[in-house]
Amino acid sequence: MVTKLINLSLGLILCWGTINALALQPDVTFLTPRLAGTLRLGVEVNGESKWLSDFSSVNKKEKANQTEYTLKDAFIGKGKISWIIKELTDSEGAVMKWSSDNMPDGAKLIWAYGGASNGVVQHTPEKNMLLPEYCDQNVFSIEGHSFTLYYGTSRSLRILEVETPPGDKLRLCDANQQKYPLQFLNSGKNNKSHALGSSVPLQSNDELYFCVYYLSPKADYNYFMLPQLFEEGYFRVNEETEWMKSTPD
Amino acid sequence: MVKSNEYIILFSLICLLSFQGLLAATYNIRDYGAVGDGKAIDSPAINAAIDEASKNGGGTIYVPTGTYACYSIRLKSNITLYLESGTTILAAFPTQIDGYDAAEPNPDNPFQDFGHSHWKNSLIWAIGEHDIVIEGHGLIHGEGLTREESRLTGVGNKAIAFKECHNITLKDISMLHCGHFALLATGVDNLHVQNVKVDTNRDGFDIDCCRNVRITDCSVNCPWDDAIVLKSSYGLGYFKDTENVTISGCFVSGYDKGSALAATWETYEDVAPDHGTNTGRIKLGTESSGGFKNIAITNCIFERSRGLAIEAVDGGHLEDVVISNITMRNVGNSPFFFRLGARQRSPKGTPIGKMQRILVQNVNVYDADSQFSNIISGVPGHSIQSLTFSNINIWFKGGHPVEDGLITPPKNERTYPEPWMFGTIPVSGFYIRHAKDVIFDNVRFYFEHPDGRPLFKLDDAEKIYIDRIYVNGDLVADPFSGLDKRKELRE
Repeated sequence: MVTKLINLSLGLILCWGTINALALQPDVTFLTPRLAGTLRLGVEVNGESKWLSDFSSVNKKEKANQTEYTLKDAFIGKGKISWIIKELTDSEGAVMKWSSDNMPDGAKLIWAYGGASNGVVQHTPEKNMLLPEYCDQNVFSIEGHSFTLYYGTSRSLRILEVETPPGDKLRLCDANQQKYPLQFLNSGKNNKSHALGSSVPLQSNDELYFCVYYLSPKADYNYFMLPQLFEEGYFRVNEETEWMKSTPD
Repeated sequence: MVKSNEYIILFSLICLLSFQGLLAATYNIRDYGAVGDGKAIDSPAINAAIDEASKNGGGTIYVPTGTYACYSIRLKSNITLYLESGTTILAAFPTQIDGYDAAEPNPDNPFQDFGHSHWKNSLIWAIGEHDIVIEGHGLIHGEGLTREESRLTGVGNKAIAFKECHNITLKDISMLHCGHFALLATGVDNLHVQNVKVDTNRDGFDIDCCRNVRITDCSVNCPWDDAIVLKSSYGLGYFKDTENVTISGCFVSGYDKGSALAATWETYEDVAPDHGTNTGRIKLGTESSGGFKNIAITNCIFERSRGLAIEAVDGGHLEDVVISNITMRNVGNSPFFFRLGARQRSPKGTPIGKMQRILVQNVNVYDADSQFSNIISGVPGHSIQSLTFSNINIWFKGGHPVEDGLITPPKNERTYPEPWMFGTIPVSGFYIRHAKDVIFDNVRFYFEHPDGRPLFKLDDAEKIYIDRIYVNGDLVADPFSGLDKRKELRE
């Protein structure tokens, strides 16, 4: 695996199982090794919203191939969020688990994904990497709560798969509008910097999963597989002999 | 008076028998347990109704108004599936314990894509059956189908699939978000698709190895792939031509998915997943192991599409084709892309195919991108032959410099055929390579911006006759020369 999961302001780099904590923010940027996009998370409570990167309290624990955050903020009262990122065994990418307790009534998770420029990132980013200029020609194929992101160029096309937790419909948004999560989520698709977003109502003791990966005979996932994938690091069901690479036919 | 009563009794008996006959042939899926709330899985009830009708020799499966979440529906001979107005057959998402029928093994999968090689992993399918109708003004919504490449058991990727069937009719239905194909018909004889509206996220109709096909009065919006496609793959495990086909009175387009059926005609997404422009075209190919014969495409409209692609790249013979009375607006690449190639995705030893006897007439094109102009290209030793373009108007964006006219496109004989396979084309009109016996008569070009490339360029081409060529309304004396326009550009 050559995946680098860079937690931005945290500057966290997961690379070949090595974790270097440098800064303070739980957004996840995927470098495979070129820029494959950034997952941002936020919370909505009673019509107000806040990115996790703006939370006042972020604690981090590191293990091999795994990073765990515990987040608190007055915005969510006595609530507590756990956000764990694990590298995948069978693909570049990661499986991630969100769990939260004591969240305010009506709280929602808001997520954003985009900014797959397929460019080389020369430095360890220290700020939000879901930038409009990285969203050019990102095409999102939405299928329920999964999506496939086509990025790169016609002659060097990259195809990324993403599983997200069931919630509201996934929608195209404007990467130029990210001041707070709701602004992004309600920004609409009339723009040239498409990113994807959705919201998920939070129940007490919820465990929600995300998975970002490249499809292969070994790595072919449905959402219901993610708990086991998260615990065991792999979930293989396909017969490789059945695998055929398809063309645009 | 007695005689009159006898007539009344006789008439009543006839009415009763006729009514009972109608009832006997109609199977309401609600009677078999279908719920229609969009949540309960109703395909077992629908399949039970089909099974009973089939045991009785056939009949109509009546789907009353409601939303029926379904996995695979298995059609059988002599069955009409009737979707009442306001009805939706909703493709459910597969779960850990339930999903679509598994893709059947196919040892010939290497010769075409996974999607073309399996039929059972579909929302509605039939194999080896006959006399089937799907009709009514209801909707087939393939929400839970995938257009992508997952191979998980339980995943479905086609809305409707027929293999080796005959006498098949689709009529009046609408289809939304249908996975890899709205319709995959492989080895089907006597197929009639009439007044069907499709708005989907990959291919619309794929007509593969089929004989005697009528596609009439359909609207097919496919921003991310081809709309109406004729193919001749090796998916059946043997060669079979697609032949005797008419495509008439159809509208193909590339508006944002879902916005055609909703009649909002949105254009927020102008890039397809392959990072070309919106697709939405009529095409012959790419799968072309078998051949294409006796094809007529007429009275069709293209909008926001990639134009017309005629491809034979896997060994089949493509011949006897008439394309007439077409108008296209907003064409993202070559309005005409004719490619005889040597991809040879066919059993070993399959020779290179042929492309011949094609007539294109009465075609109007407006607002076409100029980078790839129009391409007619065979491969060395295998020319496209007997091709006629007559009464053609093409309004190009133009704007290419003189230097682009000096480019020599690569051969790329085995490359997947798309107009961009050759890079920028060194002409503003038609690039003709490895072709012979080609006639252009009364072809009118218009350029929004001056284009410094010559109109025509020939490479390994013979018997090319060009007559009555116009640019911006002026008759062109030498269509192979770019000098006049170069002069204009310098001035």
